[in-house]
Amino acid sequence: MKQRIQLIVNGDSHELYVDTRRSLLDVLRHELNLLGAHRGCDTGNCGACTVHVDGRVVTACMLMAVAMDGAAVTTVEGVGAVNGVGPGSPGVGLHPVQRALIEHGGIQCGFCTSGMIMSALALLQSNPRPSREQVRAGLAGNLCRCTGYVKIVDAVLAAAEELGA
Amino acid sequence: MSAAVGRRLPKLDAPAKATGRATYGHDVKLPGMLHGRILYSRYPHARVLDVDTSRAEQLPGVKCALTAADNPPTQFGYGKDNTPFKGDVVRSLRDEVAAVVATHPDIAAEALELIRVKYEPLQPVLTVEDALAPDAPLVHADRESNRFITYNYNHGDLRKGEAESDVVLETTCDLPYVTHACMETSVVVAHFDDRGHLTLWSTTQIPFLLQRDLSEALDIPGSRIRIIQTAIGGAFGRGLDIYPYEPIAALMARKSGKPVRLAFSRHEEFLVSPARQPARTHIRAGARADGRITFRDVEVTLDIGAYVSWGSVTPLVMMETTASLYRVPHVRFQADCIYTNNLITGAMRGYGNPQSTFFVETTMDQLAEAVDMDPVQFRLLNANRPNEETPQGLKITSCGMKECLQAVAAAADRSRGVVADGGDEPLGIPSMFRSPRSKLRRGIGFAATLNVGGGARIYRSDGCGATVKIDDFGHVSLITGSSEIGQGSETVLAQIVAEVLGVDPGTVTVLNSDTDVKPWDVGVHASRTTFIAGNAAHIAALRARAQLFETAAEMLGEDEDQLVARDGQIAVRGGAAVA
Repeated sequence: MKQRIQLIVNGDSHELYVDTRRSLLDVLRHELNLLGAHRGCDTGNCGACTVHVDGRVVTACMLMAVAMDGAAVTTVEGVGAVNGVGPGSPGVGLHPVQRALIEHGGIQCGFCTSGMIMSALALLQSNPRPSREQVRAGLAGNLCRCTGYVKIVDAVLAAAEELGA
Repeated sequence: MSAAVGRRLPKLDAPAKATGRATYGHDVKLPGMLHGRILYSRYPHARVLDVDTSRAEQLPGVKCALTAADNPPTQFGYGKDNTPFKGDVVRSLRDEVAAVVATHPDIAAEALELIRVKYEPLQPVLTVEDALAPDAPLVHADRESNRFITYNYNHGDLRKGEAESDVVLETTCDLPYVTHACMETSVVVAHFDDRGHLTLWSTTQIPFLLQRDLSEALDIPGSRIRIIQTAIGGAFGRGLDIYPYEPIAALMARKSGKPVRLAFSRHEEFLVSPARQPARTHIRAGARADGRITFRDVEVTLDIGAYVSWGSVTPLVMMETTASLYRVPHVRFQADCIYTNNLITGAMRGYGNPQSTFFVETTMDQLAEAVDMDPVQFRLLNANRPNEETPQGLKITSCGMKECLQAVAAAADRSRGVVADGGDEPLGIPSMFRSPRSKLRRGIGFAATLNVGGGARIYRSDGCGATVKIDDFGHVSLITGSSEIGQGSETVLAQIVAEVLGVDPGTVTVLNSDTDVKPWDVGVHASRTTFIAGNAAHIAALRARAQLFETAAEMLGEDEDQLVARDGQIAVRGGAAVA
């Protein structure tokens, strides 16, 4: 069975006719070709598919797409975007969180990175000057198998400092 | 002076990963691509009487079903004991029985439920003890026993060592399964082109060995197999072998005539992917009253599961630790790799070394206690030294083991000092250790490790090819056999090449993901890439620079030895002339 929904993703509006069994992650990855949110576990445990829905941090694999009608979704592709054009395009720089992760060596295989960024952004929106413990708690739902987290936490703290300066 | 090497640079692959643009295996999409799913065994050991896929094939959206009837006639894997699908007998719960290819993964999953398999359960062997019992059922009926291989190593004279000992102790450690748990589950996309050549988009760590392994598994020439490595979402040794799902994806692509993606669910990843071998280790060790180690006698029994992998070579690394971590005059090491009907095991980080370091260092503490010595002093007394050859023949040149142990001990003392002076709130001690009601206490432990690096030399070649290409516009590309798995090899190699050619490392293009393009390399493992691929890249860059200098010398009317490469140009030493 299919159902018609409207999704606003990274500022762009999409009219979609989706199978009622599909998750938000399915729709982002397969219908909209936004591949930045990754499927690590499909059970809401690993955080690799973290996105923002109407300003809330969610794991996209745990939400039914048909329940998202009218929602505004931000994925990693929309982070730091200006007028819908993402970082790396001419004149559009990286968000400080992205830049800090790159500069602090917080990215190895990178599969967790987009989810980490989305959780870190939400954390810094609600708590612009977090302590190290608060950063750790804020990223607790995002698993990383490579780094041991130290450099990721360093990067988020550095980004917080830059954003607050 | 240094333009590129020795600088702390962001990784070249990091911006794509920070913006969600890196293409992982799960992101590969090809026109007309279909999706495959595999049906696994219901029993750890059973005879397969019948597999009926007819109902699955009738489900709308299903393009084809596959069974052991689709297997090539060959066997593959380190022990040549594996086939894509299992035919008459299944030997573990992860054994592939059948598969379907469909237009959507959900349809494929639904179709699996329509496959009817008739089994006749057989007695499984689920422990190494059961597997070694005299009347044990054989995991592979064509073998004489469930013992795949035994490794033996000796140096010195164990009896002499024991006679010289003032203390002798024995310890048994049971070491568990450990899974790689890569963030990205196993995935492969297979496609046959019009020439009948196979392209496989893969997360392997060994593209060229996989080419060879697949050639065996599919019974087609390796020259018709192209491996393209995607961005790899974790490896940790998982990618150091061939697994049945890889030839299965190729068989799916051939049978359906379309590109096929085969992607594991997380559940499947835990069930089907390899783990570190569980091992029972028995160690006897002795020391003199003055603290000198006298002997080490180790027996390890590894449960390798139902099929052999490169993981069954890990005892070679355990052997090295056993024989050469600290100075030990008399050593015996024996390891048995045993088939069981358990899940498969394979190569995993450290490749045996975490296990052997654990049992060696456990006995180091026990021996120190037995001879009433401080554990650090005991280790210092027995530490490896510079310019000595271990009895196993490892030539130790530079070695700062003593200095390292001393530095760590001094830091630990300082941390204890902080605890003593800091009152109720010692820094760095979590609250759970501080509660008077808690049974948890904080301790400090010491362990050293000895590890291979810069090439393992267990394959016929440990080499790596490299080509440096400089185009009309002065742009430098490195085409290297090595593989990037997030460890930063692209960046390191770009730095090495940039250093020689006097260009900004950020401008170097590293091509490292396509076996049709890149020269041979054994794979990414054993801390070898910087040393081996790095030296290959270095030599290629030096040769490229020599060619440039030859031409530039002619153009400038200068001697070649007066030229330098810097800032993307060839200049005369001390001058400004450029070519």
